[in-house]
Amino acid sequence: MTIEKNKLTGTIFNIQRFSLHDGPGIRTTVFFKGCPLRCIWCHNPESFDKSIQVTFDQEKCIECDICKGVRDISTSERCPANAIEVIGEEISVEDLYSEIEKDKGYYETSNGGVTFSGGEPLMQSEFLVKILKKCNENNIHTAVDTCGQASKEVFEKVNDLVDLYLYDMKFIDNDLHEKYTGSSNEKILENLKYLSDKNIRIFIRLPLIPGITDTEKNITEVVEYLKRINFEQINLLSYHGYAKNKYIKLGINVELDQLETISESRLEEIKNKFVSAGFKTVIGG
Amino acid sequence: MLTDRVQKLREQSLEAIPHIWIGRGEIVTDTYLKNEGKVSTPVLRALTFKDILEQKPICINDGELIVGEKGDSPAGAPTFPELCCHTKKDFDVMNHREKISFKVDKNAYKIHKNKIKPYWEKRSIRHKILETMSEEWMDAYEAGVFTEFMEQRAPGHTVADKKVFTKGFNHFKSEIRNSKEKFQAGSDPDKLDRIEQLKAMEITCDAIIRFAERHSEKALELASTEKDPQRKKELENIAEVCKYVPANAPRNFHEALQAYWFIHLGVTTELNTWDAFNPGRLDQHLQPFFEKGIKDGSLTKDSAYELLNLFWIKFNNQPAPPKVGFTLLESATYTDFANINSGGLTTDGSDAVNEMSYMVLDCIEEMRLLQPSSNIQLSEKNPDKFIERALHILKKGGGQPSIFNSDAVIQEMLNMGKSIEDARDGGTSGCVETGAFGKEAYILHGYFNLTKILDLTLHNGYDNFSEKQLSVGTGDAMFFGSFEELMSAFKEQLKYFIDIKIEGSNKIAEIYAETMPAPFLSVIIDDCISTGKDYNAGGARYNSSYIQGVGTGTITDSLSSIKQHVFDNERFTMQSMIQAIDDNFDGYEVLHSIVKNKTKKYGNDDDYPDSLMQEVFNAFYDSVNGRPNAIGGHYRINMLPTTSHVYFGSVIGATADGRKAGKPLSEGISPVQGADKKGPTAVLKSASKMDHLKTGGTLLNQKFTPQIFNDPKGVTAIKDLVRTYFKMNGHHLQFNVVNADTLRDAQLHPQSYGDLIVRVAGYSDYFNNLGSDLQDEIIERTEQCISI
Ligand code: SF4
Repeated sequence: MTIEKNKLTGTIFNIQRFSLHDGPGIRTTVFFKGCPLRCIWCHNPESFDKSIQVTFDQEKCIECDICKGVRDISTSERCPANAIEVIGEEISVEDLYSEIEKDKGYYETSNGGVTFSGGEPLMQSEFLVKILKKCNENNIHTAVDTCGQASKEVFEKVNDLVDLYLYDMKFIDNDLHEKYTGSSNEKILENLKYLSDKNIRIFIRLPLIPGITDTEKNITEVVEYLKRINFEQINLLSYHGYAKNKYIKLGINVELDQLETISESRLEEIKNKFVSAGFKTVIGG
Repeated sequence: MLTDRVQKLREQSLEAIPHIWIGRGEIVTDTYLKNEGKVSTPVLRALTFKDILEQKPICINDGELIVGEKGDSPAGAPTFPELCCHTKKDFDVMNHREKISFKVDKNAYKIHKNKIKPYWEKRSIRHKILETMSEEWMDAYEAGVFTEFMEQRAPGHTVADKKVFTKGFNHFKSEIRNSKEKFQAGSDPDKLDRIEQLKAMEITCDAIIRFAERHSEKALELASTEKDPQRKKELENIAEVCKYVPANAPRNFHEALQAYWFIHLGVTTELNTWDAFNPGRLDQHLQPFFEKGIKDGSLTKDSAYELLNLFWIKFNNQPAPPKVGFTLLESATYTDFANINSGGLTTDGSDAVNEMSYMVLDCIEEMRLLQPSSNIQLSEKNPDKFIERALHILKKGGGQPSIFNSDAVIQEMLNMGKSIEDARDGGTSGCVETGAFGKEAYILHGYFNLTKILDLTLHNGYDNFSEKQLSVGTGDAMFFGSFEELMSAFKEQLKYFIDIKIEGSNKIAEIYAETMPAPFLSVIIDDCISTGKDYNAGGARYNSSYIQGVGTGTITDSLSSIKQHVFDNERFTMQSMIQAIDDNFDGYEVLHSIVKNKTKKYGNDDDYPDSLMQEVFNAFYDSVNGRPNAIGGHYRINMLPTTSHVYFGSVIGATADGRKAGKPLSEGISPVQGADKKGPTAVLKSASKMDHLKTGGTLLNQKFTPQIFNDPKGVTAIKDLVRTYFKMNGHHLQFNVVNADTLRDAQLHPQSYGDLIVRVAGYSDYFNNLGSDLQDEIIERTEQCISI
């Protein structure tokens, strides 16, 4: 795909059709590349860096020497074995929209739509605004899955174009937040309050990582905090498996040796806490 | 809940050992020896029918309420030597093989050798067909360009309609007499033939009535010695029922099921029809009897359900009669394709889902039998609750029920010129075939190997498999200068073989029309009585002949590969592509990797390959659709393979999409196994770019992991997938809910998976019953899952 100069493009790393866990109905989820946080449990480490990355899979390589040992974007297309994998692509608003539009029929039947996720879509706000507008014009329901780490101005730019925010929360305790995500949660909580005051439709999403986010203390604090927030529902997300291989392939430090999956019973317990606080609580996305 | 009675009979049905009942073959031979040449052919066939039903043993199994077997006992399969005559070797094969075996006892061997074979060997329809066919036809047939359904089975494909639930055979007899009188008084040039035909029909009416009476007598006989007072009462009731139906119109739920069952036995005894007969819109037909019974207190929901369960068991007691020769070796199923449906629209076009529709679904869920197969006909007007109930059953595995788009099915029939009422009263049967129930002969003439046509095009008409020049030369493909040149050569080859196929099919249809009328079937299919014409000779209101296209995914990807790598990107030449294929990619590792990994493939909602699929489909449609058949109707297409994609793959070398020589082709209109990478919404979009409304049926299987069905959002999402596919005019969708790992484990430990049922193509089967090539093919199909 050739991109004309000065034409606005976004950097994404995946378009997932038939997504069922990123908002209501059947959705297409667009994963933006680049994220301000570094949650140690993240299973999309390819979302960290905004730049396009290339990985090489020795096992797939058939040693044809077509690449002449140069394994980069320029040779990946010609590699017969798909051993040279490019992670991320620059895409124009039109091209992205035409991918999103492909499943419009399914969105209509299922009350689904598109979800912009990542990474952090708000990091590419100019591009995001354009693609949101395009979806709005064509009556496609839009959701933005955000970690909340963005400036208020950015939110102001996109608020009117978003039908639903999927707002990720991790910790109320700022030290823990810094320890596990690499950033303070000050702005995140501030933005949530701001959106809440504007009565925008919000689903809160809380990843439950055993021993990290699912502690009694954190859960109690989240419940208390949310009492002051207007939101429609909270989704409790459990994680299965850890993308260790992806980290290794990308050359990113592996901080967690393995990721335990939260037990069913603990999940139920936590769910009950949210339910008792009067929140609509959903297990899974 | 299944009652003890049902559970016991179900077990017995599952445990019954398939065996040959030689009695039918013997009676047919006797009747022909006695009457051939002395009476007209229709009357000869009617007398054959009568003799079988008068002489065959009557079987009433302990505890059953719906009675009658096609053979001597459950799982007894008759032979049809007048259609195809087994050899001793055939008997040895079926008797001794591990899968899909039929026991043949000494007596059967003896009678067959001394009486049946000497008479039929040179007289059977199969023999006549193979003698009549042209050399070109034989060459193409033997090379695996197409198959021929009717070389071993009779043209049957049709389904019962309401009349058999609302009228009895005494009534049909009076209709026949009226028609006869009309022709006697008139001056129709074919008057005498028509009168003979009607005479034959009348004989079969008496025969079926007598057959039922014999069951009535047997029931009384059993009752007279029965110690258990309750069973005695039941037997007396059976006697009463069998005395009344099918001579008269059924008066209640029990009689309705029994009346149909006798008709089913009649149709499948008269001839071994393809894609067996079924009761059609069963929920519609039964609902009035159900309501009446509940109202007058003669029926409860439980007793109705038990009867329905027992009815189901009767189907499972009848394994598909074994074939002969190579087809016998290839046969991988006992299934006979009776496919019972529920749902759809009423004659006036409103939502037809009723209480019986749900009871039929309950029955499917609890019985878990291979036969009958089952499906729902889903209209936009049917409630979500209905499809959700069906998905809930599918979730448990077993591949039933399949789901049909009744709005599209109706549209397909309208496109073929049927009346709206006949279309709404119709539906699908067999695997996925569209038909006007009770009014149409929709005859399948055989599978057509589209991928092989491409292979022949690439080799200028020469077939590497049979090592023969099979067709006209369309130029050396090595020197084609453009993709268009390749496509036009392909279309020329396609037309050449379709012409051969149709010419052969017409001759076969004529052989049946002249020598193998089906007077009993003719009684119950409109308008055979009023026209005095046989079902096999064009007596039905609508007469359609189908050719089934196979290998959609494989041929599309192969074309896409050539277009993309040879002509668009010029990555390699046509010479190297053809050489690589001929060498099964040995020594062409790089080329093989490129075509496998870099080709734009069908099933990803990508117009590049999908438009090639459309081009192939349209070429196939244009060369077949609308051509006149031998029985006053037209040729049509549908897109389904049953298991022929495995056979068709075995007769083709490697293909340009990277498939190795001899491997199965893609199945139905599904993408090549594993070629679809963008999930189910993309697959369905690609598939919907085919114009389903121009066909009489397409088949799309999707394999889903059980995890998706267990997801709280999963069932709703699947429902929405189906609804959206149907809005795009998709004809049929079927789910296999199983993990590939489970299937792999089942291959290793078959003993632990005795009851594992999977969807094959238009039918389900025990995984253990399948040949390993078919097992592998199913494992390789893409597993749709959801990301978490
Ligand atoms: S082109 Fe691909 S397969 Fe060939 S040597 Fe390079 S990486 Fe390996």
